[in-house]
Amino acid sequence: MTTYYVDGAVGNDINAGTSEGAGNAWETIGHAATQVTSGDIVYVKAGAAYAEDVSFTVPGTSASPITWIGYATTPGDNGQVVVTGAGVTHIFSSTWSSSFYNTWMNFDLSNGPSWGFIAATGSGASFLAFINCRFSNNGSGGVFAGPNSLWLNCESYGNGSTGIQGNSARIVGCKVQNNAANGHAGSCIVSYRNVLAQNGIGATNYQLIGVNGTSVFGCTIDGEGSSAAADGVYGTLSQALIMDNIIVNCDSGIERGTQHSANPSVNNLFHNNLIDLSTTSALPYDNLNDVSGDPNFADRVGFDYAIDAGSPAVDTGIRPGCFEA
Amino acid sequence: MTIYYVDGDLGDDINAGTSEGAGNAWATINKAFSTVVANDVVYVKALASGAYDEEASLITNAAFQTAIKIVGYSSTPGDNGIVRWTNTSAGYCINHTVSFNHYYVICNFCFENTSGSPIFFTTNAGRQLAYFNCVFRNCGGSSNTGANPNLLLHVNCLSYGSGGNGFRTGGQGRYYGCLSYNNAQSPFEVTTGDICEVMYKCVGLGGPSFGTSASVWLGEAKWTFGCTFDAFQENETPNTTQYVFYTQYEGPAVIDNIFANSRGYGARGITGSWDIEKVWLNNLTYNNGGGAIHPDTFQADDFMVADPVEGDPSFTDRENYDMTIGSTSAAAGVGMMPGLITAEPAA
Repeated sequence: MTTYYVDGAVGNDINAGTSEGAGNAWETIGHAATQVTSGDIVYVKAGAAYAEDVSFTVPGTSASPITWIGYATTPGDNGQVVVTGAGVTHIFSSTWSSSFYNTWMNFDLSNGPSWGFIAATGSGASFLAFINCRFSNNGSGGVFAGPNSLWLNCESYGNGSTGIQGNSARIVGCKVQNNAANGHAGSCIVSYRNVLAQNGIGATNYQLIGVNGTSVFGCTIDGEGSSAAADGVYGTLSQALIMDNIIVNCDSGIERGTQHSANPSVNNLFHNNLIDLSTTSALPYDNLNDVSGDPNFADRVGFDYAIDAGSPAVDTGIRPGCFEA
Repeated sequence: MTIYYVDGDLGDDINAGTSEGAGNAWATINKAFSTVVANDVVYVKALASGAYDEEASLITNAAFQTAIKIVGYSSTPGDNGIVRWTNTSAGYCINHTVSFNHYYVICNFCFENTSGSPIFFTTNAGRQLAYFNCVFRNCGGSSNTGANPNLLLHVNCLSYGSGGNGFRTGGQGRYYGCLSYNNAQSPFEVTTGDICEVMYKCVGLGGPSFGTSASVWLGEAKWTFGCTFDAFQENETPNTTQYVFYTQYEGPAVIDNIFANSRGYGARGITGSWDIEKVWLNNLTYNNGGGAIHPDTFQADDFMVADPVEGDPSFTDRENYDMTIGSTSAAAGVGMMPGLITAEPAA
């Protein structure tokens, strides 16, 4: 395992890249992408424009992944690196169509002409991970990766297509807002503590697409009254559990497909949806402890979805144990 | 779809069973189980006193779209009143005789005081069953026994006083809002070789006889959010070979949990070929004798954005299993928030 350093301000690609600063660090992320092998870590320093579109080609392995970490002044400080891209195509892309054990932390991939990040499509490109990254105002979508990829504490907003796309996606602690198409497309397996809001207005788009076994907890979902058939959570959703969420301004807050053995709505706050929960095969425990009322968002227009002590969503979450004596 | 009614006080199995009350409802749950077909709903009324005392055999399969619902009530169907159910002979309450996918939803029952487990699964059985608002209390065995019960779902269920495990699942089990305490073995057990999929807002506590073996855990799940695990082992000798929460499989996430009072480590993640991209963050550890998190847990591809916080969770009334926390708890206000973890860089 080797640790490399990229510094677009003072680095040079003829250097060894194995320590920081002039005479040591590399200049471009693209050069690093051609040099890494499994298990390597690459620290990328903020400050330079990084006007390059980067293609990542080395997949890593599950035991020896490749990790790309932005920093501001000291490696590990979690400062974000803005990569402006070359203005030609996707800012970041990966070419490998099988499992691609790369992680990107602290990157801002915004304002590009196409996708902020796109993985090679096909059967694989799985197990990518994005932590503390921003994908905003790109001409196409924000970020598109393969199955079992992870988004943790990311933001994707203002993009020309989908905010986050991926099958069996794990999306945790993210803000996905104001994208032109679906907030999330593909199939989501876990959605925890996300804000999915005001995506795909004016067409049949969804804030989040679930699949059998999906778990959606503690999320705020706002459809902004987008259009007919534009749902908050949409999918086949057999054995899905959708609880402790705030779901507002949707056509159907939760739209179930035809497979719905056990996918009740529990402890959700619904407000101003045309239909809160699709009535397909209503179950005896539907709407268990659901509440309604204006959630009193701090500044919905400004995408601040914090709630205060007066919100009807406060203290209505699920509690361990039976709800009857 | 037919709706049937069972009323052990007023019913009779020679009735039609299609409405409530004397002359209409059935007397036994087994009569309903032997009659239902896919899509049917059975409402079972609580007895005025005591518990239903019978073994009912599930003999019919349903499908995703046509799950059979067995729903307890106290005075009005749909009131979610809990119905007591036991079996004072050596048998079970529910005997799942069919194999493979069941697609039953069982709501509002209290399975109690059986000599062994209250529920039995035959070979390759027990899949796609859901329990809502059910209690398992003071039974001689685990919540169920027999073949591996894969794909079990428990929501708002309670288990205590078991002679075995509080809750038992096979692969892909999921627990939401469940509380399990004072059982002889694990509060949330996963059968050997299987992996629990999700634990969300659950509380798993050690009982007086819990944790004498290194392989007994309070819980094990792939995705674990907002749970509290307390082993109640603060007076025992520290032991670094033990850990009371365990996660494995590719891509697990362990976020916003409390791990407290283990004689060993508070938690451990698997290493080896299944060790892929673990996410651990915003957890609170407290007073674990062996250490907070097992040192093998974190490998190069794991994401621990922040070290676990060590601090007293200040449970409201731990001796009475009230594990709620107040605003002064070290766990208060440290949960995951949406958005970037760092401030936005200057434009």
